[in-house]
Order: sequence, then structure tokens, then C-alpha cells
Amino acid sequence: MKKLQKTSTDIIPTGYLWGGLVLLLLFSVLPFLYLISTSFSNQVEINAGHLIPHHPTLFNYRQLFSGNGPYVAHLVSAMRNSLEVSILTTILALVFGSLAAYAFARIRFPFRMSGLFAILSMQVLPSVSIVVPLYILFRNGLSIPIPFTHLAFQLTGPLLNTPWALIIAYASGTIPYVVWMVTGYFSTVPKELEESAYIDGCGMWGAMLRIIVPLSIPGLAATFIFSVLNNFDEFMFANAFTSTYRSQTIPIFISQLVGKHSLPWGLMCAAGVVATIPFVILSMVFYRWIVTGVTAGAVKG
Amino acid sequence: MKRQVFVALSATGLAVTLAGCGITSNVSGNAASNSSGPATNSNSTLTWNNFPYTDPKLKGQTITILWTDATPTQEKLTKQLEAEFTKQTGIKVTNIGVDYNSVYNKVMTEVMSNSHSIDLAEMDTIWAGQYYAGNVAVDLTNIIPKSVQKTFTPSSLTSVTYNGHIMGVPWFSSTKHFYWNKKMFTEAGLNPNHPPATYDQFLKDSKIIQAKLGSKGVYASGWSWMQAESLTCDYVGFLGAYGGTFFSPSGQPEFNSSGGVKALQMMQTLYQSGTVDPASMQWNETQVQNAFAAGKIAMMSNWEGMYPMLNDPTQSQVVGQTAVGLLPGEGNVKSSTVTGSEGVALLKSSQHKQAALEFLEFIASNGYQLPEFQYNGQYPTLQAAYTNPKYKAADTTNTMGAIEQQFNYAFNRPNAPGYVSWSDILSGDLHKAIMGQMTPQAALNDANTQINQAIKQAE
Amino acid sequence: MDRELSEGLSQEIAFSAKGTGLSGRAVKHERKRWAFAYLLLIPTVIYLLAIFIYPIVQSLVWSFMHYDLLDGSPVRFDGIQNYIQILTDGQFWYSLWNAIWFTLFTCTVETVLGFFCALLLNQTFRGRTFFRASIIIPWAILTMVNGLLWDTMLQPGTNGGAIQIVLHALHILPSSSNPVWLATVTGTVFWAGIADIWKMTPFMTLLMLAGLQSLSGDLYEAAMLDGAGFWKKIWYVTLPQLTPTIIIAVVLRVMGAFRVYDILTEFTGNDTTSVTYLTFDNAFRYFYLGKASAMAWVSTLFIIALIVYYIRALKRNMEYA
Repeated sequence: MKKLQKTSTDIIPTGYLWGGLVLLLLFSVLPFLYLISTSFSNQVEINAGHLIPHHPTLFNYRQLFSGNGPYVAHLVSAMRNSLEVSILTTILALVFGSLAAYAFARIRFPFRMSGLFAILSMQVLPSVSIVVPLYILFRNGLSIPIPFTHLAFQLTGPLLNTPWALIIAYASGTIPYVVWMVTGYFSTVPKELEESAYIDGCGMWGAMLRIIVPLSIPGLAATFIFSVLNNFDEFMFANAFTSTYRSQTIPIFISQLVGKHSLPWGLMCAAGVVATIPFVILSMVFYRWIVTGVTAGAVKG
Repeated sequence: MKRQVFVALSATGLAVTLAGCGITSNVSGNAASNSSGPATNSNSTLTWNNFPYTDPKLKGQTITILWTDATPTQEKLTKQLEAEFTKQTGIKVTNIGVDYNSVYNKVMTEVMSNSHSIDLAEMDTIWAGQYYAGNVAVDLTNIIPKSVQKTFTPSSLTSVTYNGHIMGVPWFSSTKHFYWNKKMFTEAGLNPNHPPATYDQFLKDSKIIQAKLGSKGVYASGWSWMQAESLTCDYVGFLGAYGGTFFSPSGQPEFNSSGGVKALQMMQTLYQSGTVDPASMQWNETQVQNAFAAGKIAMMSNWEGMYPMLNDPTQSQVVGQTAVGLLPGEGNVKSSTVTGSEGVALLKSSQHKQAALEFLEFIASNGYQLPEFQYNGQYPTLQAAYTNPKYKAADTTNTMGAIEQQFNYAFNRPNAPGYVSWSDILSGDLHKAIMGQMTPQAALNDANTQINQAIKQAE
Repeated sequence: MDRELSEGLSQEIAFSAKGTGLSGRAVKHERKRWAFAYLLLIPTVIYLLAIFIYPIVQSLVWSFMHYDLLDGSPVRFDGIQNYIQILTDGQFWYSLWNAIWFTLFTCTVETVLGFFCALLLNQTFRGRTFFRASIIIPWAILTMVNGLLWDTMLQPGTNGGAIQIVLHALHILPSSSNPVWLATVTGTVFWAGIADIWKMTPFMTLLMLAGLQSLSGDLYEAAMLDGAGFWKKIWYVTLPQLTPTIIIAVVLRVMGAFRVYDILTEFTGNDTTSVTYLTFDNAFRYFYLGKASAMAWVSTLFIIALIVYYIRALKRNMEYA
């Protein structure tokens, strides 16, 4: 076994270190384990104060997934909507944002810095400041006003209760994020590689698509995962823009279960486990990328 | 870092200012054109056919209903009834069941949304004014034939009417009732057949029960006093008992008069006496029901529909131990409760109005009302049901008489447009007063001022 | 990001300085590249103008209008009526105060906890990867599921609330006491804060861990030679070097925490628990769109002012130090 090399950055004494680590582990994991354990408890045991069920039961999961029960169809459609919305949003934002990021990272042009800052600073504004106008926008459908008249060219029908309302709204927050992240990744590609592409006869599109983008794939992937997770979690826009089962997302599904306040806690926890386990597993598997996604934008250098 | 953020902020500022110049007038023009609200469709083509007759042309249409769907039992029955309707008419039904406290928001966002995805929606009695004034629902006054209107009980029809406009089809009749656990009464040494008739007596009995059974983790009573409509409901019941009124005849709130203060004082005293399950402050009615069914509280005030659940051994631990009767009164008032009857409204934005109307006819028929009564304990809106032997036979717990008697002592909440925001204000202050964060008088004065302000602003 | 942007800035200055010396052909080439850059920017710029800037301006305009959707009254210019209404309304200030309190509480605790967690995980020890990966579990849980989980655990002990059961067992809370923590506004905001701390501390930890990893060991060695103990090392070596990371992390969290809404809807129906909640209800429960727009603007300006103030204060502190 390889001996662990102590370094000068190890400033915590070993005893405190392990004490702290155990506390940290309990803090992070215990509530989550309780969620799982409750999902296997029936209401009688919860009322009796058993933190771990004495007789674990699959009853909650059976009720959740029972074919003619009221939940399974809603759960499945909510899951599909959530995936559809968060993935399409991310793709849209990645395409738009990467193009802009390429310009910011690889080309020096007037107003470059101001432009970049303007886009970044949009992240400061809370989403509640645009929720009302967006609601009215989606209610009427997208249109392009024709200048100097009261006429408008109608692009779409009303978008509320469709995934498009959410995709369009989410992208407005995701694009600045993508620009921020991807500009960072693109600018790490050495200039020599790009120049050799020009010498090989590539145009600007060619250099971008053949050199810069492929070399930034890990960064793009981190951005992709992080943005999907973020959009999957969004609640306020979804609450304002959807009212039908067909258009609702997972956070709304969970919120409605909780809102009833009358369903067994076990059932709600089972739904919570189903909604959340994929992400916990994904986050562990893609731990490295997630960390890059969290940190790259914020603390590079 | 620091300087850069400044640059960033000022850059946005600039962009905002620039963008502001060109489009302002356009924005207001756009806004004005939206203000007309949902399109007003002509209703003249709608005809009320008595169920199950249905225009065959409607076959294959799908209608969507938004209403409360609180418990798994309820959800199951709703599904069965909708399937029955589809079988008879060929009209498909999609059901959106949300919690009660979300229904109003969902209906309003839907109606405002231009998306036409919901056809029928629950209408609690208190929303009738809003549904009328806000152009939410179709006025059914001239669509439901007079002869059909007469088949409903007068109170259920009143509950869906605002200023003479019938805004929905009566769905169920409802008030709150007094439920008590006879076995616990006996154990505490009280007469199980003499529930308290006044709130003073209620408090005394509560203390006795608490002293005897408190060690077993039982509380004398539990209430639906989460900060929501359910708290306002209970307050209106107490208000009636102490001779107070919500609004003066001229439409001014006057619940901060002496009756209103006494009523709230009693609620506060009960809570502070330690006989009320403290969780009451975050419970809705279903949670109170669950606590009662689990044998954790001895008395509760709740709607109909507790039976048959309370006597179902798979859901209840108090099978055969409970009874229902009149809620207490005080002084000259024999009993007092709040009306909670509801209707189902046909939304103006619906694109399947005739098919949706067929479902409303179904709701107004025995085919719907009887099973809802039998399996859900939901009381019928049809006058004839109360003498119909089929309903009597379905009343396995023999509680119909007791329930019907309470209907005579019911007080209505206001149903004018704006009620929802008033009730939000009131329930917040009630909650604070019961928790002891404000005196009852101060809480009610505050609510009174705020509601007056809201009325003024709306004008 | 930080360094890279400042590099970019200096490059840009250098570039424009030598711009005059370019030959005709080079200028033409540069112009072509500029055009290409603007072409690439078009989709993003149009998109953000249409779906971000335009709506924000729209809501500014509406904040000066009487715009009630429900009563169908005509939209009309109303001056600063909406602003007067909300600023004289105790509810608005109360909800703003709750949001500020929530932000201060969660951000402070998350920063401190996150800092120490990052210190722990920056040590060399066996199983480090396991510990690092397991701490992101809370962060990976959906916000609404997090709310559901804490709602369950915060129930009174008589209703099976896990936290009170544990406190009873440890005799921290007498077994006769079963408080209803989510019944008051103060309680709700506090516990929503605890739930947020549980979920977001890993985020802080990851950020600070990345910052710590980029610190060199030399300074610690120098500090060790001077005989500095644990706290001295933290105070004189770690914190000064980590400050840029902490600033960014705190700004990110302040932005996130101030808009708290989702978890509160699960805990309570009382919308004065946060300014976002109140704004949302005014918009989508009562449909006072004008008033809601004004609220959104006031709280937006407030958060911008808060962040600007925070950064200025830090800058001043660092200049004195």
C-alpha cells in the first residue's frame, strides 16, 4: 500500500480531522438516509416514532406505481417533461452560448469586455423580476412587432402549459451561465493550435468546429450536466407557467403531493426518493465534472 | 474583481436604459389590449339536457376538470365516476386533482393564460363573486332550466350564486360538524352521549379529557388552524356562536366587534389551555381527520365525509367509537357552523362547453350524487335525495339525521370578489392571535384595517 | 475567471494602442474577424434582448401602471401609486426583512461551515475521494424534495417528527414538549434556513476546496517555522489567500438565497416569509401585475445595492489591511 505523503497544507491535527470528518459525514448523509427509511415505513410506524421501520414495507412504492392509481401517470409525465425541458434548454443554451463564447474567447473586437460583462451581470437579477412579463408574453404567444404600427407578426400560439414556455424562460438564465463557463474553457486552448488550423487552410468556422470545440469537450460536458441539474430543479417559472398535468415538471409534482398534507409521509418520501435518486447517483458518477461545473466559473485562477 | 463587477452592473444599466427608449409606447399599447380579459363567448348555444341524454356529436371530445383531490380514496372514486360518465356519453374526462389551497391559484392562472386547457373547475362558495366579476365562469342562470334549479336544496343553490347569478352547478352540501370519540369520553368519565353544547362546556370537558388521557399522548381536540382558508372557516363558526357578524349590511368588515373578539378570545383560550394538539396550527381538515382516526384527539370540528372512512378498519383505529352531532353554541345560539358547500363551474375559456355541460348534468344526477354520498360521505345537493330510500340505505353509519340538523345552524362567508385576499389577511392575523403573538382585539383591528384598505384599493 | 478577464482587459488595451500601426491588409483581416465575432454574438444578443432585457423594461413600465388582470379594469398610468402602496405596506417590509434575515443567516453559516469542511477535505488522508463525493449528496437532492424531507422531520414529535424524537431521546427537549416549529413566520424562516444550509453547504465547500487546492504550501511552511499554530495559520495564511474565492462564493450564494421561494411554499402558505413569495402571490394569486412589478423592481434594486455595497466594503477593508 502506498504511504500517504503528509504535506505542509495539512494543518488540522489528525484527531480533530477524523472527528470533523465523521460529523461531516453524519450531517450530509443522515437526513438523506432518513428520507429513504421513511419511504419504507407505513404511517402507523411513523406516528409511533420509529425512525427506522421495524417492518419495512414496499407499500408506499406499490401505491406510487400502481397502474390504476392516481400517481403513476402524473409522475411519468412529470419526469418526461422535466427531462425534455432541462435537456432542450441546455442544448439551446449551449449552441447559442458557445457561439458567443467563441467570439469572446478567441476574437478581440471592440466592446468585447463590456459585452461580456453585460451578459454576465444578467445572472445577478432575480428571476422574479421577469416572471410577470414572461407570463404575459407566453400567454399571447411570441410575436415580432412591426415598427411604427400596432401590428405584429405572430410567431407562435399561446405557450403557457407547454414545455416551450419553460424552455424559453429557462434559457434566458442558462445562456449567460453558458457564456460565462464556456468562454473560460475556450480561452484555455493554446493559440498555436488554432493558428496551425489556419495554416492547414481552415476558415474561422473550421478552426472553431475542428480545434476549439473538440478540445473543450470535457468543459462542455461539465456545463451540460450542471445546467441540466439546475433546470431540473427550477420551481418558480414552472409554478407560474404550467397548470395542467400534461405540462407539469417534477418539482411541481412534488409540491402538489406535499400541498395535500394529507397523504402518508411515507408515500411522499417514496416519491421524493424516486425523483431524487437518479441525481444523487449521477452526481457521484460524474463527481469530477460536477466539481468543475461548480467551480470553474467561479474560482478559476 | 471589484472593478469588474461595477463595470458589469453599469453595463446592464446602460443596456436597460437604451432598450427603454424605443419600445415604451409599444409596451403600454400591448398591455392595454390584454386587459379585456378572457374572450367572452356567447353562451346562447348551450343547452341543458338531463343526464344521461347526450348529443352524439359530442362523442370523442375530451374535457378537463380541475378540483380538489385530497385523499387516495377520493381520487379512486373520482376516477371510477369519470369512467362511468365516459361509458354513458362517449365524452372522455381528464382529471387534475390538486390540494384545496392550490385550486384557486390554478384556476386563476389557467383562466388568465389563454390556453383553454381546463373546462370545468371547482368553485368554493366564497369564489362565486370572483368567478362572476373576473369573467372566469359562464353564468348558468339562464342555462340551467328553472325546473332543474328547483331540484337543488335552497342552501346549495345559494352557495353557488352571487348577486343573483348562478355561477356553477351545486356539487355537494356542506357545513362543519362536531365529531367526538365516545370511548374516550367514557374513559375520561364524561357522558358519551352528551357532547358539550357550549364552548365554555367544551373547554371544561377538554380539561377533564386532557387530565385523564393526556398521559397517553391524546389531546382533547384538534383543529384545522393552519394559516389558510380552513382557519377562517372555523373562525366564522365561532363568530356565529358569539353573535358576531363578518360584514355589516353595508359591506364593511365588522368582525372586530365584541362578538368577534369573544370568538377569537375563545379560540386563543382553547389553544393556550394545552388541550388542543399544538400541531393544529399547521393542520388542514384532512390532517385533523387523520389524527382523529388514529385516536390521537378526542374531539374535532370537521366537514362531512368523515364517514365511512372513520369506520373503515383499514384506515381507522376508532371504528365504531365515534359520533357526530351539533357544534357548540353560546348563550342564545344553540349551535353555529360555517357553510362549505361547493359547486363546479364551467370556465369561459373552455372550448368544449357543451361537453363540459353534460358533465355538470351528470353531477346534478343521482348517478353522481349517490356514489359520492355512499363511498365518500359527500352530502347531496338534490332536495329529493334526503327522502330517497336509496340514500337512506347507503347511510350505513346512520348519521344523516345528525348531519342534516347542523345544516340549520350554518353561517355563510362573504362571497364577493376580493374575498380571497381578505381571507388571506384575516387568517394571518387569526393565526398570530391564537399563537398568542397578538391580542385578539389587536389582531382583528389589524385585519379590519387591512381589509378596508384592500376594498378601497380595488375600487 | 477573474484573472483571465483582467488579462483580457489588458490585452484589449494593448490591442487598441497598436491598432493604428496595422497595414491595410491586416486591418481588413481584423475587420473580417470582428464581423465574424458579431455574427456569432447575434443569436445570444437577440435572445437576451427579447427574453430578458425587454421583459425587464416592460415590468419597469408596468410598475407605474394600474394593471389588475382579475377585475378586468383598464390598464392606466398610475404614477408612483404602486410604489407608495408597497412602501407604506407593512407586509412588504416584513417580507423583505425576512428575506434579508434568511440571506444573512444562511450565507454566514454556509460560509463558515463550508470553509471548515473544505479545510477538512483538503487534508491528505485515506478515503478522501469517498468523503468528497459523499458530501455532495445534499446538494444533489432536488430543492422540493429537500423541503419535503425537512417538512417531515420538523413535525412535532407526537406526529413522528424525527428531529424532536431524537431531541427527546437525547433529553435535550423534555418529552412533554412537542413544539410546532413551522407554525410561526420566524420558525418557518429559520427552519427553511436550516434546510437551505444543509443543501447548499456542499456547494460552498466545493468552491472553497477548489480555492484551497490552488494555494501553495510554501507559506504554511514559513508560518510553521515562525511557530504559528492552527488558528494563526488560518488567519494569516489561509484566509488572505482565499479571500477572492470567498467573495465570489458569497456573492453567488447571496444571489441565490435572497430569491428563496420554492422551499417556503412547502412549509407555509404565509407569503410574507420572503419578498419573492409575496411578489409571486401578488402576481399569480391576486393578479395585481402592476403592484407585483413594482415589488420585483424594489427587491431587484435592493439585491444589486446589497452586492455592490458588500464588494465595496470588502475592498475598503482590504485596502486598510
